[in-house]
Amino acid sequence: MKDFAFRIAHLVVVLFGVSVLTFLLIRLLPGDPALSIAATSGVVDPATLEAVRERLGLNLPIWEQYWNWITNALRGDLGVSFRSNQPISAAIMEHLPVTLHLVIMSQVVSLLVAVPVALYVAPRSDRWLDRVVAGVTFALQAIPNYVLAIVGVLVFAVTLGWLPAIGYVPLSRGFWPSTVSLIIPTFAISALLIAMYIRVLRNSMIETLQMDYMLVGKSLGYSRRRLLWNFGLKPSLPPLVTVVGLNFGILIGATVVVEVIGGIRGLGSLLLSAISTRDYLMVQGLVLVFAVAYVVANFLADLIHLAIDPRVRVAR
Amino acid sequence: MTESLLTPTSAMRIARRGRRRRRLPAIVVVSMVWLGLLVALVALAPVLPLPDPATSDYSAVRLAPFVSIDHILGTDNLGRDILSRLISGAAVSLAVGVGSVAIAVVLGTAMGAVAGYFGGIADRVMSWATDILLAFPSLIALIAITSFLGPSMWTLIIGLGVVSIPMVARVARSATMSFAQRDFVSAAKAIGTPEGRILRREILPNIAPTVISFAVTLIAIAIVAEGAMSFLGLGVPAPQASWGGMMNEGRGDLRTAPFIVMAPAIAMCVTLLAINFVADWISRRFDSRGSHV
Repeated sequence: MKDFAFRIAHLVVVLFGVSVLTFLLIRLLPGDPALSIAATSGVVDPATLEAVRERLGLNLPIWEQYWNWITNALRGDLGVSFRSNQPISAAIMEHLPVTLHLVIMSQVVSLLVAVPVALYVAPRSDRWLDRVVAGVTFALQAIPNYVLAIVGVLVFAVTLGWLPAIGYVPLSRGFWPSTVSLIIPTFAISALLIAMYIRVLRNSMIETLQMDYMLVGKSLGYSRRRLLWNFGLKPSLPPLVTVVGLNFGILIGATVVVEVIGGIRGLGSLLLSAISTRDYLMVQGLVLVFAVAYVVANFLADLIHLAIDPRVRVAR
Repeated sequence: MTESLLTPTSAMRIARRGRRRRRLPAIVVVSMVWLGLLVALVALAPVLPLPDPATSDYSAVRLAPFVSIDHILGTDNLGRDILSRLISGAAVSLAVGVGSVAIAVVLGTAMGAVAGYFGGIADRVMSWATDILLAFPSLIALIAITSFLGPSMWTLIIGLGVVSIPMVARVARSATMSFAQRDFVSAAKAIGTPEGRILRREILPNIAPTVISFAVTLIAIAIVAEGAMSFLGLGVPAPQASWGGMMNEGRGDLRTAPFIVMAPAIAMCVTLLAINFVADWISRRFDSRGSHV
């Protein structure tokens, strides 16, 4: 319980620090931030400048500005884009499902591939196949996802013509067409995840296999498959669950280039168009969302680890 | 880890690793040769008989590789020589990779070693700070910094360096903690060695292998990030060539001239693999397993 309280306190401090840094991001603008932001809308006359200052509250002392900004953000109000006059949180909510779809699909595919492979090689960790798998995962971890995305387009769309090169079909137009439109981006993102998950699960499985109860199970005559899936998998899962949880937080902000290559209008594309149109408030809002997603995923992964692995609770 | 905890298989594995450690594995040699070649080509680029990487040859646009002696690896959509652009791009990748990691290693090691050695308040403050900084995904942080400061080589080097500091600090901190209570450190303290000297003479040489093998991995990560930024047009501004930028420019010709994209893609993957092999070898050599994270 004390542990839990400490984690909550840590979460609050980190979130506070993250919000302060994100708030200060606008101050990185060279010169007068009001001038840079007003310049977004084209003409800059003293009246517009004053209006921008008024709207952002730039005339107030800085802690008051932060207080106003954070209380609004907590209510889900990240301000209004100076470009499109659209509320920033509305724009984010519009693009979030696309990125989430890509992230969830990548995670599911990665686990579907990695778990059986890891369970297959773990008890055979001295054989050549384990070496091959280790080599492949090593190579996969070195290849950037954007290279894989381009190669995927080249092979599956341009050469073979099996899949569309770009574009995203929303889920509302049917599960299957939507899934097909995400195959290449999923392939690009999953490669690294598959490599990571195989390594993590294989190593923790090898540790589990050395436990006495696995020996007992073996001597009682259980089949290898039964031993692995029924007795070995569950105690080997905690490290994998932690990594998978962390990746939810990381991937939300890591799909940018893959989204651009695939012509997918998700959060990454939104961030880039905000940058090219100098929509600074949109950039700020997105950075906050990405960072909070990471912190929260980190926190939840910790909690889940605590919940499913009794050993951690005893050890502390 | 004490000897009695070793199972026969893991003891055998360690013994085997010990034997393997003596000779340089072939793949590491190949990796080092590739990286050395890259550095040599970058250094010698001005005197090599290659076309200028930014000059267009309009008589040879989208020329396929290995058909002309003037353009061995072909030309891109503007008739620029792909081989010279690869070399020119390698300079950017290496400069950003090594430069940013140098910044991160110097500052991160100092912060991590101080926090890990003294503990207490210094450690607490640094843990909060690294947790806060690590909350920003590095690519997002880099994009945000660049969008506010404007793209340039220095933005990339400093931005990537700053983004990597907390990662190095964490590794250095945990490595330092594993040495801070050791006998030789206590002995140094007992004879009245100043703290600064203990940090420099006793702690630093011992955490160096861990930090160095992590730093080499970080160079690969920095090159991936630099490629992503250049791909997005937020890297080093044109006409300077960069691998990521070349991939982005070649995307339009994927159907008719895939080699424009594939040349930088292959160069990048081979380089990243080579760096990872070297990093892996260093960490095995010093057997720093378990000391980081």
